[in-house]
Amino acid sequence: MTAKTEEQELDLTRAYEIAEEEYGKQGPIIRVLQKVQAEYGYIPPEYLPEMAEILEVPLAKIFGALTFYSQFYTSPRGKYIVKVCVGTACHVQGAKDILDRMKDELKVGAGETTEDMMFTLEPVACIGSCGLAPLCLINTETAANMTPAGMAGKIQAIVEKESAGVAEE
Amino acid sequence: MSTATTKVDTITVTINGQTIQVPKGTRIIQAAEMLGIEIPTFCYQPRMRPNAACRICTVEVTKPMNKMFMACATEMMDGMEVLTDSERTLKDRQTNLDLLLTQHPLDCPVCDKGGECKLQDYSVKYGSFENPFETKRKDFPEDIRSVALDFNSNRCILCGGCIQVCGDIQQVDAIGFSKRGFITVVGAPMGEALDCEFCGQCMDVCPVGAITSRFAKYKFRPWQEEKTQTTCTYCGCGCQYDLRTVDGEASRVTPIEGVGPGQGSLCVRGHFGYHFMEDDRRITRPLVRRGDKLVETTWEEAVSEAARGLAGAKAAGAGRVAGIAGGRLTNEEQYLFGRLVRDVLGSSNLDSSLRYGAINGVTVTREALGVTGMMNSFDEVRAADAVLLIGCDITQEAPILGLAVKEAIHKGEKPVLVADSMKTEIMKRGAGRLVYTPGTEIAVIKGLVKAVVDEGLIDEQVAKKYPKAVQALRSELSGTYKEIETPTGLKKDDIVALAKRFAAASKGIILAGPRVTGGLKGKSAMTMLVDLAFLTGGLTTPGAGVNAITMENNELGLALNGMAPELVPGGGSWDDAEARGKVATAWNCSLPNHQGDTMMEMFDAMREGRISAAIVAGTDPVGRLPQDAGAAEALGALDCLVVSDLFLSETAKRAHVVFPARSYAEKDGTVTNMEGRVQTITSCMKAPGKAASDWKIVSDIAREMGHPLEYANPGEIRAEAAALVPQFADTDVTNAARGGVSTEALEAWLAGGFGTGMGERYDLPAKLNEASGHEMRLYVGELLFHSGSMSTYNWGLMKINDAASLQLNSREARKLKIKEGDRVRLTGDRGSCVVTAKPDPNIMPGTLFFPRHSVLDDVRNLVQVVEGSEEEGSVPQFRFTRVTMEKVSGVAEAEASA
Repeated sequence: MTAKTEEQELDLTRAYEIAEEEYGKQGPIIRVLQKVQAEYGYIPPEYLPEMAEILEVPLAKIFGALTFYSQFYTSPRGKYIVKVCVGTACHVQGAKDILDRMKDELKVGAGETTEDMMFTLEPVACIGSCGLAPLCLINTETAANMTPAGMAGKIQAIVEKESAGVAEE
Repeated sequence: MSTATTKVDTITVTINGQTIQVPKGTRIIQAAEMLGIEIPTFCYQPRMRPNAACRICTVEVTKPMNKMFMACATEMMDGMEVLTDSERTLKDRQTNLDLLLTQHPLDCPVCDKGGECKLQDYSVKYGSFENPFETKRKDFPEDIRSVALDFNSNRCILCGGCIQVCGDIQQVDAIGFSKRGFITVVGAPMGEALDCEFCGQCMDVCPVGAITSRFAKYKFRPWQEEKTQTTCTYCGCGCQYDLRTVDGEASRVTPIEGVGPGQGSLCVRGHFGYHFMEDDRRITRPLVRRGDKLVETTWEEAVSEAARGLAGAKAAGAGRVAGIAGGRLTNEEQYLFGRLVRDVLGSSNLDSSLRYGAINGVTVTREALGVTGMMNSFDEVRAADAVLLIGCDITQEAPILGLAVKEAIHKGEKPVLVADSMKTEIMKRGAGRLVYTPGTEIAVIKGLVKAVVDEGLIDEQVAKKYPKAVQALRSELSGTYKEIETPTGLKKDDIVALAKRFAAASKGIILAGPRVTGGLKGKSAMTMLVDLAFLTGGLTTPGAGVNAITMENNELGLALNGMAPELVPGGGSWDDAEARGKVATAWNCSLPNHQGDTMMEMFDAMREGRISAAIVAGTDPVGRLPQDAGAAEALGALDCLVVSDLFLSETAKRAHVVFPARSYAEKDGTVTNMEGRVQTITSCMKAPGKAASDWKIVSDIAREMGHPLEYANPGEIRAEAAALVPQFADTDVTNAARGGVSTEALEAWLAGGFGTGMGERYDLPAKLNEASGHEMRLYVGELLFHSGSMSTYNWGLMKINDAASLQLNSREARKLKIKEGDRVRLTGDRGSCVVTAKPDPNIMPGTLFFPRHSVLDDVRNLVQVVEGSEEEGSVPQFRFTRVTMEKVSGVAEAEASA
């Protein structure tokens, strides 16, 4: 019940502003989607019809772009995006073990978000730094030459930091 | 840019050893077509830019380089040589098909497309029977959520043609791709059910069976169907299509690429409105009145009773009989109906649905410029530099002409300027817009003419050549903008800006809709538009002009056949003794001396007993006009009312004799579209019971009255009619330009039309936008989905849209706490009723819109009819009225009133 109310009350003012800023510029769809995702962490689907109105582009085109690119998400994601590279080099260096450990640690499947909206676990195909394999990313911070235990430690540190932060408040 | 003077460069190219000269810019596939060489393609549509998605059209170019090219997208170079049947081409083609068939299901036996599927045909012709690739089938559930179109994504080959036609031609963008790669699907965005205009064009261009019609599903196999080219009879556009039948039953409608006004486009009515012919409610046998009841009788009995009644009234005195005809009748039927009334019945009281249609539009252009029908063809609209729409919701009222306007926007970024009393679909796409208070068209138009005169926007040549006429107009428009701003709610600057944009275009086309021609002082308003066109060079520039749209299918036929007391066959004026004499000579009769009554005058005469018998064919005045017009009382007071119709209309219910009439699919003949094209309709279905063509009914009555009008077929009638109406001599489905206005006609009008009557033309009615105690303005108008005569008898169209809800401004609705589905009470001077509300952002505050087609007569009957003066074409104004709106609070109250 409360969750639903929160969802309805999501303030999209900034998202509308973003669309208005891009109105009339060439090829605005992807730029607006990226900016809105940067602001909200995902693209709220209820925003799309209004975005189409503001930009005067067909909703079908926006929806096409949104669903084409894997970079866009339409549901809320965790505060921390944990990316585990499962590309060839990382795989050879034991990425699968890291991914399995993360699933156990966070109690979520691949691509899912923890109930407290703290972590989203995401296997990725290649980050492009195979020399550092196995490689993980927590938001923008790289974790090179990782081990399952090493990643678990990093997660634990974040959990502690976050709960301390809550206690302070 | 004038194409006439530009030298078109040609190049010489060779395909499969055959050499041909083609214009520069010709693509391989087009050149091949000129040579009669088939290149397979899934996604290429001649009307659209190449999509280059399906790659099946890949051909081998051997000179100047040796390479594979896509035939649909490659513009040819001089000296280019192409092989469409080389080993390499065929190998690539086969591989393409093999790859498509790794995914495409082999469900041809249950696929509606089977038998006319391009993938099937090409596979047979070019495919291999040993696919070397691994098969991987898709497994999407079929999307059957929309009311008319089903999406089977498993069959989709992702050529994108449907998305392109929706975006580029229909410009609705209702569908798009979603996802990526193997799981890409086509559909409405957000994963929702498709809810669009349902023009069905996506289905037409689909090369496979991915988009199919719910209404036709599993009902036919293409090879069982008979295909009959005919003319759509829903609106004045008159599109050509194939009506397909299986064992005499309509199976579906398919467009004909590149033919007729629509060039292969159809709208929802044309595409899916083919069920009314087979509706159970059709009248199948003649009916005669016995007391309160209409009972079935024999044809002979009905004819004899009708003839007796009409003859009795005729014997009692000249002019005691009246005739009213409609646009449902063919040219031939209208002609013969007119002859029955004027010759056999000897009465000049002949009127038609033109009176509540676009008579003011038709007569103004004819009287002023000698043009009956539109000045411009649809093609000229497509090529216009600017289009100005006034009181014309074109995408609803003439959808295919609407596509021509959209094409003008799409192709050339040409300004489309829209003035209307609501935010219409086309207005949103337009470059300039004026949203005015409903019912004030006359003032808006005056404002535009004034702006042209005041701001020095008059075409230089016109100013130089016709200084006297320009001066006459200038002196009429010396008033202030105040009298325009106050009623219309517009600002002077906005009017001037729109006028400037229109005047800047060299080929500007004006399109006037029903709110101009059927509005207050409609004839003056239309004449002012002719002035506007004149001042901006529209009457002296080829491809420019001023047009009124007609909304009924054969409305222009009514004008050409002289189906109004002020007209004679040939479209000439009744006042013109020579034109009248010509008709009398042709019919070998003497026509009545005086001009007859218009419809509203007839109603008065019927009520007062001066007219005692009438024949009505192909229109329903009682159902069409609000109660306030008094049609029901008038027709009900007659001693004899003869009606022919397909259904027991409100008028037919009051008749003494009812004849079952045939639909367009059961008879032969011609109809005239708003451009003036005379197009053929062809019988292909069996008429139910005793239903007969209206010309047959007229002929039988005439024979019974001892004045035979005998013809073997409609062709004979047309041949006779062509002596008076030269337009009927040729049936024409080509897209020829209309030719514009002759200098003589223009100068004759300037000499006459500007000498007298100008003063009244520019006088605004005193009561424009005057509140009468009711604060809301109610407009009763047309919807894309329904024209309201036959459309509501289509179960298919009713399934797509049967919404009879009152549209009101969404912000206003929020303020009044009215939500969609709430019941509201409308109260006017003519009563009150309760309807369902539907907030809509496109409706202006203070305004309400209700669809005319609705069977809820109550709303229509709220309208107070304003009878038009004779100078204004005697056109009753019945589209607007003023009402008070209040929310009905309790459910009980709502139910009680319902």
